[in-house]
Amino acid sequence: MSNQDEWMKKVLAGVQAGPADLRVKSEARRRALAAFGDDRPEPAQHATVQAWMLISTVTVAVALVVLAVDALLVHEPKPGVSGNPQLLAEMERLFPRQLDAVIRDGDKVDVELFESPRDTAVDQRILVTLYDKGRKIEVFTYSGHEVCLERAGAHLCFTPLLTGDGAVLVVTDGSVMKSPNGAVLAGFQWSAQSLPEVPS
Amino acid sequence: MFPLDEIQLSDALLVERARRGEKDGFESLFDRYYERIRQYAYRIVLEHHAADDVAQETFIRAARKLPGLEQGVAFLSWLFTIASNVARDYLRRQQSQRAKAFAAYQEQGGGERPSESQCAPTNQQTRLLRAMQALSPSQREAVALVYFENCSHGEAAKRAGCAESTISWRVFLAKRTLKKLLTS
Repeated sequence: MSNQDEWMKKVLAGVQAGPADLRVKSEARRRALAAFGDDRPEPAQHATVQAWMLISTVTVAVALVVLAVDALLVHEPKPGVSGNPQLLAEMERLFPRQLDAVIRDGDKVDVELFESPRDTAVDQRILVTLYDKGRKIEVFTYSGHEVCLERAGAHLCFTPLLTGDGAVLVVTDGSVMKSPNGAVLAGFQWSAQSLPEVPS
Repeated sequence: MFPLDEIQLSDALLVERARRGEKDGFESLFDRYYERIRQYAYRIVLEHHAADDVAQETFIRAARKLPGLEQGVAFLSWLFTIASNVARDYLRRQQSQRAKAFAAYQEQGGGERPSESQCAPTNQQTRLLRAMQALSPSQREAVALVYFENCSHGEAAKRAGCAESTISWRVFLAKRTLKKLLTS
């Protein structure tokens, strides 16, 4: 084991949950065994919480679909005008200071969020577009933010950086590329550009 | 000779009993792994109550899916995969709920904020927790598997359901971030 691994183990030893509450454990056992085949009814409160969580999940899913359709149909960029910051702006309004990236792959939209709000107001908005045959993936994010994608078995992490002259560099583990020099990013052709501010 | 109740039955045997519908087989698996899964969950979600919830939901899902578990699949790896998924689901829900709760809190003009009163952390622990919070959930998952569960990167990849290189990359990023935050 390397010194760095030993350091990690030593440091991380402090990250552990306190002792389990016996009532909590007992309730967890009861519910797990109920799920195993016992027909005992769940407490009403649990059902309410589950229903509420389901409603929240459905609401967020519907909101994302509506936004995706809205972005695709209503705000489709005009030919020749590249970069549509509208989707990013919509998500910024939904998740103020929590948005890390919006990834649009066809009609599917993924949203990456920070766990706690951060000041991203000073970070320049960036659009990175990945192309593979007929497929196009758009990543709306900010300069200096790392984005990781897992698509159809391919895994790709990169950090776009806006340079002083307005170009966008894409930094991956061990390489720095500048658009549009035709370099390939994990099998994808790509382009990147900074996005203008969207008037609110 | 050992008394019968002192013999440690293998996971495979307990799983087989549980698959046949014997509840005590599943209960033994619960007792064997509940605390380990709870600790693993805590290292991803970093909240005590959330770790309890994730552990509970993990075993509920495991109970429902156990009949479909393919023979030869290691129960513990499978259980960790479920726990990873449950923890990710929890964090996703938490993101949207936190924004709503904060808005409601502001509308009400303040009030008592929910807090983690259990196990109030020391300054050093607070610093460590903040550093862990700076990692992405997937990086925390990789760290938990490699440094707490002592998995190889290959085994961690199986449990997390991703490529080995992905685990290596996440561990690298986590180390870099923690070094930066904890040694400065």
